[in-house]
Amino acid sequence: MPIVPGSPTDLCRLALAGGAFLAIACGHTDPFSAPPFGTTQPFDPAPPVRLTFNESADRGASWLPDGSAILYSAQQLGRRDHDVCLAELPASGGSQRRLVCNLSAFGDDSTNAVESPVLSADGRLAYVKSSGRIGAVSPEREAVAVAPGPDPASAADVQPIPYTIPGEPRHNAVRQLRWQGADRLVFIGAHVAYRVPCQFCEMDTIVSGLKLGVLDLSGTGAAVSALPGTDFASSVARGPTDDEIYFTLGGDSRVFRRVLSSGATDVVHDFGAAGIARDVHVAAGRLAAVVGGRVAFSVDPELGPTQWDSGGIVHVVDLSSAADLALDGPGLFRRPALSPEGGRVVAEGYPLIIELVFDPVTGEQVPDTTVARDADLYLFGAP
Amino acid sequence: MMSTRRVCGRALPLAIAGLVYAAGAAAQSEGAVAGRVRESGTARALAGVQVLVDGRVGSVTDTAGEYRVRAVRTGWHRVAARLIGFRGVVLDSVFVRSGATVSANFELEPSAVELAPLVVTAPIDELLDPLATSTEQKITAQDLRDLPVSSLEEAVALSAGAVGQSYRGGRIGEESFILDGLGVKNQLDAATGGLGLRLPPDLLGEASLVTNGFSARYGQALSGLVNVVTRDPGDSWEGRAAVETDRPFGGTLDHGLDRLALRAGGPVAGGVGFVAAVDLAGRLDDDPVNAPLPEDPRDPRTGGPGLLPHNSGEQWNGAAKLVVPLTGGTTLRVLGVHSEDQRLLYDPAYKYALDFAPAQRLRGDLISGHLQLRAGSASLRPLILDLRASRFVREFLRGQLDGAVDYQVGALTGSRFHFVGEELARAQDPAPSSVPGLTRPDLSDQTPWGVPAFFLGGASRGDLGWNRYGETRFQLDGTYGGIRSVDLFFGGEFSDQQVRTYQRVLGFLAAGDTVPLPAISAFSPRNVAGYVEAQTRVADLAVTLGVRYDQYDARTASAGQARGTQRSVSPRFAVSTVLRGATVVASFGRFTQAPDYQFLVDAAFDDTTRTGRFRRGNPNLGFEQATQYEFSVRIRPSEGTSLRMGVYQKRLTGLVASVPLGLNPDSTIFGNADAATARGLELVAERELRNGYGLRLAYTLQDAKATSTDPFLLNRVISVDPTTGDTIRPAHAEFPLDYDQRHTFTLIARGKAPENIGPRLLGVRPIAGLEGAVIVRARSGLPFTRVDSAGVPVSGPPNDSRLPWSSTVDLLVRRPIRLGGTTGGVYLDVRNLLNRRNVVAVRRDTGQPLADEATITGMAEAAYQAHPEPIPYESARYRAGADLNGDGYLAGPDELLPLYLAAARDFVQPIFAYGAPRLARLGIELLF
Repeated sequence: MPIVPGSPTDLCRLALAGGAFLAIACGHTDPFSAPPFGTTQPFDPAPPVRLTFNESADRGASWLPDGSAILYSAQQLGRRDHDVCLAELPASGGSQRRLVCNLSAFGDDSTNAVESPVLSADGRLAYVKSSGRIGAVSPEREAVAVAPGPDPASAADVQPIPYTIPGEPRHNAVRQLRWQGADRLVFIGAHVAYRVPCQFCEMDTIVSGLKLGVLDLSGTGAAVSALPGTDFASSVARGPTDDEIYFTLGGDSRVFRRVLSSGATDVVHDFGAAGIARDVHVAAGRLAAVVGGRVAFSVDPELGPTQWDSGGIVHVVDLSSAADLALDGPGLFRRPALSPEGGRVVAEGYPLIIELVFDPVTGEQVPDTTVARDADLYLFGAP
Repeated sequence: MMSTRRVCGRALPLAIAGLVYAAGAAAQSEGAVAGRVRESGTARALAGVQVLVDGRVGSVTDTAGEYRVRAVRTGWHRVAARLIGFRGVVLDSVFVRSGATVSANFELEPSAVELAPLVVTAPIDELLDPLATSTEQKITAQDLRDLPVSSLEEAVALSAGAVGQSYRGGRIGEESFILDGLGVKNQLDAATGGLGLRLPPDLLGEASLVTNGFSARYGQALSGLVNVVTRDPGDSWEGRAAVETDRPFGGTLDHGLDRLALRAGGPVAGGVGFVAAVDLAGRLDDDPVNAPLPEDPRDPRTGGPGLLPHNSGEQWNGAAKLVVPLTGGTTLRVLGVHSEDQRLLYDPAYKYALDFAPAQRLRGDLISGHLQLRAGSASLRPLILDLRASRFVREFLRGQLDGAVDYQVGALTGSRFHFVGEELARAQDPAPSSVPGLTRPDLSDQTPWGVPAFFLGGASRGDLGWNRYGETRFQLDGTYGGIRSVDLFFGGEFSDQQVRTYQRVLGFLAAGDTVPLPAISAFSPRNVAGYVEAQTRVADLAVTLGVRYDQYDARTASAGQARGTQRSVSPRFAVSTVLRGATVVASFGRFTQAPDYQFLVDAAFDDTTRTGRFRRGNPNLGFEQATQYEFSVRIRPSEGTSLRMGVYQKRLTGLVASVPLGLNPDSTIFGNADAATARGLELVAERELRNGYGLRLAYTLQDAKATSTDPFLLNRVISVDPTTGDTIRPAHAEFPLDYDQRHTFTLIARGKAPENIGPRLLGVRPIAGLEGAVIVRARSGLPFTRVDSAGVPVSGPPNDSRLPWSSTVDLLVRRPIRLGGTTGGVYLDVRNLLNRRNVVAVRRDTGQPLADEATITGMAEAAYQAHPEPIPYESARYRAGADLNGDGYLAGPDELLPLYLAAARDFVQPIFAYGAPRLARLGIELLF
């Protein structure tokens, strides 16, 4: 049928064709997709906020550099291999953003652990990596690993453990890994022993700090060294600058500051009668540490000088005014970490357990208070 | 005058509208025109008459007045007869089909003066031609445009005897694909992998499915051959552009379809012609299903419109053809075809971690050349030689994508998928180390149920598969007409093939004790074939007799293992005649094909009669063979109607199957162990498109049974004689073949409204010129094997149960339009118009798509027992709604088991047990 330009017939057909092309310009219907199931709200917002409910251990918390989330190690009893996985929680609590397990090629045929995870300012992840047979007392392979990003699976081992520094006793453990600038890590070089304290008791893992270590990553290979004057170190934290660290020593109530380039050391705070200070962490002009509680420093006939620590009270000190605030919470706490802005503290919380035990003197069951072996994470506000 | 019986009254639409015609003995890209020339009034045979096709002398009649013009390209031609002293006759519009001999008889009137030739429109009746001895069902380019089909494969599937891409009970891949007279076959994994090459439908000239004693010229096939002739460039530039989409429909009718088809062709210079076509298609849900929605509102599919995610597919097909006339009647044709098919594969286990579900990519390239040499066309000893050469390469990849898919338009990405480990696979790296980039998957925590069960996440399964098949083929075909009433066909072919495969499982682990090493193979088989065939006709009796020789040597790298060169001789015979107006054809043929090369190497899947296992390859495999007998009758009850009926019996031997290896029942190897018998009846009744409508009804009755002597199988069919109490152990067992579809009905109805009917709306008659086609299909169910709850086949032979019947109604309505002098059309294509929910698969344990409650409960309880641990609040698995006591933990069977049950119910949803739902597409095309 011929078309006369501009006639109704023509327009109708053009509209038909135009409609078809317009239809092509429409978008397609989306396939179904599952909504996100997580939450950023804590289970109970009452302070201190209990962040985790894991029936096994959650430990080694650290903040992301921007303060948006918390990294920590979470052991998974639900897994056949009981891996200690890398977990990431929103800063306010809620659901884990990620949980990374299975870091070994052998998967669930071995127990793999990510301990002391910490992210650098430029986004690199450092952690202590270990693996071993399921049920083994100690790991068979251990190393400090560094990943170019937040994914631990892409990490490379930079320092095998154990290691020996000339003139120093052999270090068979690394604790409290901290980024000290872009190419340096500081940590506690430690000795780990395993002991069954009594018949039918569970095995204890006893960590004795030997000395602070520094791992220099700036060269082609990592170089490890020990910081003199840090014998029996019980904690270490990065200071306000890349040249400054804070640390504590076993059995000591003081917190020390060291300038790495000069070696100059001074005391920045002394908790005095409050007790032994440890697990120091510094951010935004504030210092957090665990003080007092169930802690003792003694010389063990086999292990030598050893600090026995079941947790204490979290203190936050304003470094400019030296004002000391003890944070109240249920049970005892260890290893607090201040948020980058210094307003929040996340710490491992160990509930106190009251149980009946046999008193050999009276021959009766008497109540006894013990500390839980596995911790959950708690979030404090630090006003 | 010409013979009115042959010429008059056979309407032009006969050639256009008929979906199926019987045709000539040879299936190829060309046909022939033959007949007699007599003197009008005396019936005296006229010798020396020049017969011209499109103005060129094609033949000269002999003393009996007979002539034959060979190697006429498929399509419309003008055939003329002239002799000094007689008035010439021109038959206008003679349609020549590939492989068919069109009969055109002339009667010339004596004339002392030279008169203008008499021009007659000349439809030809091929149905009754006794020279057409093969059972051939045709598809024209017009059919592809007029029917609700989108591809050649879909059109061929409408043929009687076809079950999808399986023919006469045969396995997929037992057919051969002939493109412009040249064989193209995926000899590596045709049973499971497809050809890998798709011709854009716009470049199709004509196609046909040949299923009986096809010409000795063709081998490498047991069940039939699909013969495709591409179109030649026309005398002037012309083209077509079409766009299709389902976007306007929205909701459940929008499956994300977009398609663009373009074609252009015409003369270039100096008689050289060029034609090219591209066909781009993408669909976000490329394998749509009509599965019922889940009942649990937490399942995201409940609220979804029906599209499956991570199920998109895109195909890019392009082809170009160059026709170069050389000197002396020689023509060179060069054809190139490129196909890419890449798709994401929805995996129910990765429903909630779609990025890690598998994907695959298939790529095929073909370049072929055809040189035709003619000698003595106008003499009594015409000789035509066709020399063809081709290079075909097919590459397949499957694994995990190494990045997110970047969609550009709908499902079209415009880029190739890249897979993790692709370079390793292509390099056939034998190293046992893990594949970089692959990690171990875990149980997903992103499901609505949270619990660690059934659904995977975090990583893919770690599978990586790659194979590459290449073939260089040379083919020479000759036609000699120097023997009176006999056409002699002869020729041979040589193909050099290259097979490379790589397969890796659990690629996130290093190969070792429990992880198999990469399965790698590299070998270069070689095939040689030759044939000779003669076709003669005496009065109404036509006889075709041929013999074919095939030889293949796998030449595997395993020295001493391969059997070496294997040979086979295959006779073909057909006789036909006309009895009381009916053309009767009886044929016999023996056919051989080399086995799929995937059966020669380890880690191959599937076999002829039983599926789903992992077996050891066997480099010693020999030919698979078939012997077929067929009897067919073709009649024309009235003008414009036709009826064709055929019965056949085909015996298949040496079929590849797995056989026990030693005494270990779990260890098997491929062998030429199975035999089968397929027999059937095919009935096609047709009314040509006349007076506005046409009909075609095809019915197939089929019985295809395998015969096996597998001792493990025989143990399942032991019976006890009720009289004697004797245990009867049969010597062999018979059971249906996988593609044994007993009944198939296909009804095709077409209609066209006159140009001037219907009311006017805004100056337009909406229904004027409207064209429509409906395809109604009903099929009985395919067989399957029942198993018990442990997955062990229940007593009895395999495939002793059947799926239910299925049916579909497809519709296409087209409204022609003209836009500024350009013609075209707007069309609506709807498949499964009634939205029937067809069951295409079932669980072998229940015989139904759904699992029973006991199975679901058992799965849930087993999963709970594997992971009874509490789920804490901070876990991504925690679901607040399931925390009945609000303590921050999901713990114990009261809180956890309902989640495991819901997860199990979700996981066993029979998504792919159902066929496609109602699908619609709106298209617009312009012809220029």
